Amino acid sequence: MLYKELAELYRRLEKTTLKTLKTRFVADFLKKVEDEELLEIVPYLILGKVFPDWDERELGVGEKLLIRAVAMATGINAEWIENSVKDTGDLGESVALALQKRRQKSFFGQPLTIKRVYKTLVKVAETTGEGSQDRKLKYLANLFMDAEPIEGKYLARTILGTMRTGVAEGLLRDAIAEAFKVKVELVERAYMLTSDFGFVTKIAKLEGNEGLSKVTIQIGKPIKPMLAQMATNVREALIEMGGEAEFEIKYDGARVQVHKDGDKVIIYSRRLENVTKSIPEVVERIRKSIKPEKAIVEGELVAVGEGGRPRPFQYVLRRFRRKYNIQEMIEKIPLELNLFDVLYVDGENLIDTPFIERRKKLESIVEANQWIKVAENLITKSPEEAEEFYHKALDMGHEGLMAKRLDAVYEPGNRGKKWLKIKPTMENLDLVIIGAEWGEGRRAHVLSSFLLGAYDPGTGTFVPVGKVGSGFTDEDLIEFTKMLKPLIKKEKGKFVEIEPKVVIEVTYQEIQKSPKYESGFALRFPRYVALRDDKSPEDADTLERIAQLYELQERMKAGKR
Amino acid sequence: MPFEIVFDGAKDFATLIATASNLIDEAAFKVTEDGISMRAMDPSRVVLIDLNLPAGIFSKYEVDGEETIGVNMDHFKKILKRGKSKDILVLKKGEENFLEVTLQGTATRTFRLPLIEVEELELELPELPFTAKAVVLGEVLKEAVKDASLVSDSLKFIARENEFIMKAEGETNEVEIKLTLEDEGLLDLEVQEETKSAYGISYLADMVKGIGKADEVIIQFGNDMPLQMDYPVRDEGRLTFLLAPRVEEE
Repeated sequence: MLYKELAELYRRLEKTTLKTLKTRFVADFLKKVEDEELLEIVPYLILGKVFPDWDERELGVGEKLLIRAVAMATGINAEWIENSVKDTGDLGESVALALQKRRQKSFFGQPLTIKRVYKTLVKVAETTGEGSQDRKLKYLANLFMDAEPIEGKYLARTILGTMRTGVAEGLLRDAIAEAFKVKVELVERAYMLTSDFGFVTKIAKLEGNEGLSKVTIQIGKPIKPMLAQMATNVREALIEMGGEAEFEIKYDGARVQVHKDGDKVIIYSRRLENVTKSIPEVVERIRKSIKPEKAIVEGELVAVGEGGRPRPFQYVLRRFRRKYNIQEMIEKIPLELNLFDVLYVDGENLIDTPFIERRKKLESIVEANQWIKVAENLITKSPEEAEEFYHKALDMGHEGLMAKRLDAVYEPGNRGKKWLKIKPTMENLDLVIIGAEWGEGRRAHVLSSFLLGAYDPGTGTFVPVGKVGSGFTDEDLIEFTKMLKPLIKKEKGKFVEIEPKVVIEVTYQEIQKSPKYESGFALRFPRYVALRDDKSPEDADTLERIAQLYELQERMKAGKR
Repeated sequence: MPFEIVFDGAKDFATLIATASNLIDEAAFKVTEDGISMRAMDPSRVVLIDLNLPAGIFSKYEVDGEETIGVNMDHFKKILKRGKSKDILVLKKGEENFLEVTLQGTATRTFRLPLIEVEELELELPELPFTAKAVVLGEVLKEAVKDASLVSDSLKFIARENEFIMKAEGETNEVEIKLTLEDEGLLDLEVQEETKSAYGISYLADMVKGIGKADEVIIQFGNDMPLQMDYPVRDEGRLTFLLAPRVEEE
């Protein structure tokens, strides 16, 4: 199948804002894909990705390298390409322009096929070590050599991860259902269980509803984590849970999902990114402490500080990001794993098993020690006991408690009321930077005020809810400017529009109803807390969540506790 | 099919492989009773490499039948680089799937290079109607490429009667390297008509890297046509590059 057909799909997707139309375009395209191998690749390419997020591989190609590759393939000066972005507003467009003006000739050119594009990008991702930049450059130049302008445009965007065709996971799910006349709920379910659109698409096409309903969890494919809603206090949680619940410490750490298959251990972050390589000591401990041959367990990874007290979760994220000198980090930031759930043990799928049974199973398979524990818990009907436990958790320096329904099955990807979290204050929000303003005076060359957006899963867009300018150090602003500059879409005077990529955590005094933003809400006195690069923009808090928090806040104000 | 091939002067062989390895990651060498040959294209398909080493240039050449061996050029290069100019190079293959590379000097050092699957390039060198041919000293070419890379990313070759010119134009700077038959660096010039054509500097730089300063390099090109560059390997052998042109901006 020619890459040109895919480029044509991107073009059409970009032209319309109508969701139904986009869904149909994607569905029609999926129907045309005959080849089984392609069926697994194409869904991700449609999302603008080469690999699923949980795949360890990444291209490792920045704008600079991409531009050099296009320059090499076209004979058009790299500087010219870079400068032309000012006029076109998009590197993809500039690449197309360079391809139009191409001067470099080649031997035996061949039209690009989707498979060739994919295979070459795999090679780019797998090229590491000495001289790897140079080899990546040549592989990319090979593609651009044969790319027509429109192909080059979308190829560049795929490589840089800036597709912007408005196709999010929800739309792709609907399109798969439409294309192969299968139930959307079954597609969703299969995706939540495997996080693999390639696999789901293939099953939908080849085996239909029946095949989809048989899909189950697999070692090596992360399961979308079950999520919790918020409760104001333990009492409310107990009532919601029907009088009795399991409370467990909500550790201040980073959630991980561990897949163990014999000696092979894979650890996924909350975003389901493969972080195995960054924490080898945890891998080693899992091999020793988790007794079954095969298992999938979930837990919270906590950075341990002085006196065993937890350090902020950002320390764990620093561990995840580290690619070099890992040994040094193992000593600097020791990690403790607190396991709280088990989803699979030696061929037995446990997600439909009640929580209380899973917890018992978990306790039976873990050989606890200083570094691997089963999360401390309390099963009770008594609000007083729960309250006491809650204070204990806070005294220990953790976030609060989780409350779990004893009979709840594991619902992948669902944020329901079967799990509730209880934390002391209004929750911080994780929002996406969608715009910014250049500073003045001393801060003239840095971005110093940021427009924040909440995610709207319905449209895949980000709606503004406030501007944040405080809480940043000068170093923070320099860092953010560096990070955001390549993401600038448009500049208008002082204001710049920014590609929604970067998620930050903010506190605020309250949520207000406001006509100022189309969202209808505005944050009062927002203040920057932390960069959340463990979260993708789609993981940011949603408009719905803000509305919920608003309700909660109003209820608390009214004294209805 | 086992073979044993001996080449005197390991360093020369290393230079040859190093030059090719600038442009290609892996290569399939065809070993026949007549000699060793290799044809490959760089990943961007702008340069075609054709290497021809007849049996006569080797001091020992024991090959029965025919075999194609695939090697990772980077690994091969690194091993060969360990050789000194006076070392004797022995390439040997037994029944197993690796190449034994021996460097005989003050000691006998033997490396084992695993062989890999490499797709053989089944293509003929195109017969091109070149209109200009110049024979220059390796040094001239090497220096010209260095000069030009200061000012531009492409180098224009111009051949007229009695004149061979290499010219690079940047936005502000330019450089011109002019040769006539009077000059020591230009050994021969045949021009059918005034010929101009431009080529990417980065490719040229990779191609000339392994050329010896005193080598006689044969350059052939046509208007907006590929450039063919040949340089001799121990008289009978030959390394040829074919480089696709850059066309002028309108």
